[in-house]
Amino acid sequence: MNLAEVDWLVLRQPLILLVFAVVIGGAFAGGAYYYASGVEREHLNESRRLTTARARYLTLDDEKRLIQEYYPQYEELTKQGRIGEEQRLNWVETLREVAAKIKLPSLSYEIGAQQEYEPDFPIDTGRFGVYASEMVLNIGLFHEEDLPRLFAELEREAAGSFSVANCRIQLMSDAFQSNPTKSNLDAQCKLRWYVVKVKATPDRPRRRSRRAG
Amino acid sequence: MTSSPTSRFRIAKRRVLLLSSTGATLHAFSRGRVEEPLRFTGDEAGVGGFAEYLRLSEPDPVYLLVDVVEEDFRLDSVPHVFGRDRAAVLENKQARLFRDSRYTQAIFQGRETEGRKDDKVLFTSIIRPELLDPWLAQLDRLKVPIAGIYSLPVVSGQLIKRIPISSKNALLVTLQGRGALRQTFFDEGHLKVSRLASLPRLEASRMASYVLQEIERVRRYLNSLRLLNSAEPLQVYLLLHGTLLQDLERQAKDTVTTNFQLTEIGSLGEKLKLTGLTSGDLPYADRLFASLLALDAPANFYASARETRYHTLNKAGSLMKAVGALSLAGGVGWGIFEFAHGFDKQLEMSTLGKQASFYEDRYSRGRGRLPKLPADGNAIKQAVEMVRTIEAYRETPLALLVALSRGLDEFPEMKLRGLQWESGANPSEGAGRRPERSVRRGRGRTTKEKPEGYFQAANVQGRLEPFDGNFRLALERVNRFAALLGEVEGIETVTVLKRPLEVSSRERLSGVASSTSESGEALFELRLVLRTHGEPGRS
Repeated sequence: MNLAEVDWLVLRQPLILLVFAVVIGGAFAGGAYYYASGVEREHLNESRRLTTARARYLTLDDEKRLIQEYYPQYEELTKQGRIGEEQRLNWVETLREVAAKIKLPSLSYEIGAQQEYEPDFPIDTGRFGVYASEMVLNIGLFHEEDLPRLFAELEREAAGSFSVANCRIQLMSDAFQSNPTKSNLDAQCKLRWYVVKVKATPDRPRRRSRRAG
Repeated sequence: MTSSPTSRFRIAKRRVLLLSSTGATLHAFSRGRVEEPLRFTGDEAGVGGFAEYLRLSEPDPVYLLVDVVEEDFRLDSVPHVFGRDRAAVLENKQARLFRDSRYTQAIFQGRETEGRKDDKVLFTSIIRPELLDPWLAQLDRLKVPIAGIYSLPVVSGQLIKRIPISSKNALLVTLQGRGALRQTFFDEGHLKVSRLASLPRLEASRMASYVLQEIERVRRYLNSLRLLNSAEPLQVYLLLHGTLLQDLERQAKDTVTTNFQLTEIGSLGEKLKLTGLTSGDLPYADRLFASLLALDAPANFYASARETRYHTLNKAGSLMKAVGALSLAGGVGWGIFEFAHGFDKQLEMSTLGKQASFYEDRYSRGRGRLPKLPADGNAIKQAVEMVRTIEAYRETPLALLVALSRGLDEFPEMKLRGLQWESGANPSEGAGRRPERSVRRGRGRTTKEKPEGYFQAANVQGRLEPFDGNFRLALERVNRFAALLGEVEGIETVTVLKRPLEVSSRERLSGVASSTSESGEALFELRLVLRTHGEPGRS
């Protein structure tokens, strides 16, 4: 029997019923699925909310202990200029005072802009990041021991943490100058002043990073 | 017919239209009941009555059971082929055997045992199809579904399967309505020949002997066709009812050539779980065959696809309705399941929300008692530990200068001229020069200059003073100076980058050999690497 011989009138009612049943059944099932999916999503969100809330509540005691242990240190380090904003004015004043104190024949400095720094040593970061400003010192030394004294005084007096990245020391002449206002050695050192502060855009915690700086 | 017999039928509504040369009888089976047969004569009035009946009744499917003299049976053989070849062979054969092959069929009955081993085929045909036309026309006009057109002798084959027959052959003898004697011969269960003969108007007492004469006539005919084995008598099964059966029980005597098995239609019906097969004293088997067909209808036998199209469409429609019902039920069932699942989740969600609020509230209260902080406890701790790490990795040249000064104390003739110092994870980076020679660390031990950890490295330039031109001594002093520095604690490697005199065959060498005063300076350069963090040989 080909299609031309099909009496569609006979099939009209079953076809209408079929379409009707499929549409109604499909619509009912689809609507129910849509509803159930929505509820499932909300359920998942509520479940996560509960898990988070419970976990936070259970860690509240730990947090109290952490705050009691670390917050005083945090405040102290903030005062020392190691956490929060760097204190350039203090650095400049300290440089001037130290240069006078150890009677350096000359000392000039140049401080670059602060940038987020990726240390080349292992450090855990998270919400806080390491920021650094590079300071280049050109130092006229009367004696080679003036350089260690300069760094020791800076470490003691200046607000913040620094590390010396490199130094170049050159003997100015073979004959030693006995005049303390004259330099016998010329040194150029690059210091990195570090500060820890909240990142502008926090990233995911990084474990024991060891990227080259 | 006044009784209202019941029967067991798998389909609730079926109608069997038993067609004969003189008219038609309609047997309707509805909800397990056999309704009173309706008889229609073959003339215009009868067909009109049939049309009126169809118009007033439900369009239940009709099974046409043909019981006419004008049905021919021919035994033949065809080559054992398949597919299109078989169809072509059969078509050709049917065209040759029957003048009008509108209603023809071929029944395969095994293969010849000799020769080509051809297929044995029984060809059947209604040689006067026009007998069916008036009835089919009405059915088609009123769109009544025709389930199929069947041959009564072929349907009687079902009966043979249900009656326990021990013999190889069987002649089934029945009386049909409107006075006709049907004799159908089966060999090993296969229909071979069927004959319908009109009964003359006889007294009831003479009917039995007439039937026996007809049976003998057919036996001789079968014998002439060599369908009977001379060693085996013909087994005659008489399905009858009433007085005629009783007469035959008295008169039918077994002979060498013929054995009689007389069966009462009603009792056979009981065996087959069919009731209402008899009416009064009438010996006819029409109801038996109609019931058999309604009970277990085989596939359509004669009807074309066009003739059964309304039945096909009805089945398609039923299928659509079933699929629709299933879809609806499935959709609703699934929907109910999903809704129930959703309601459950919603109830759970409410509980979860309350629990979450409880913990959040407790946390807020607890947190409220703590001082206001720029970050949570873990972050505060992390910030402090970061500062500690930075402090731990704070570098100044002091450590390396101290190590260097220890060496200079031992070698006062070594005068320094310059120093480039750096700190970092890789001391070879940024130094500006690559190591040129093997490195000595401690006594008699060399390593490659690629240590892991955190380091300070310095390139130290100096000269020997005073220098009297003795390069051998100067070289020895520089080597000893380097070896001494290598033994200082923390020094990882010491590399001699420049010697007072390059004596290697790979280097170009020039100088003034005539005067020691112009021998120049004994210059050297060393590279020191000091490990401040990490252990040697570890990453």
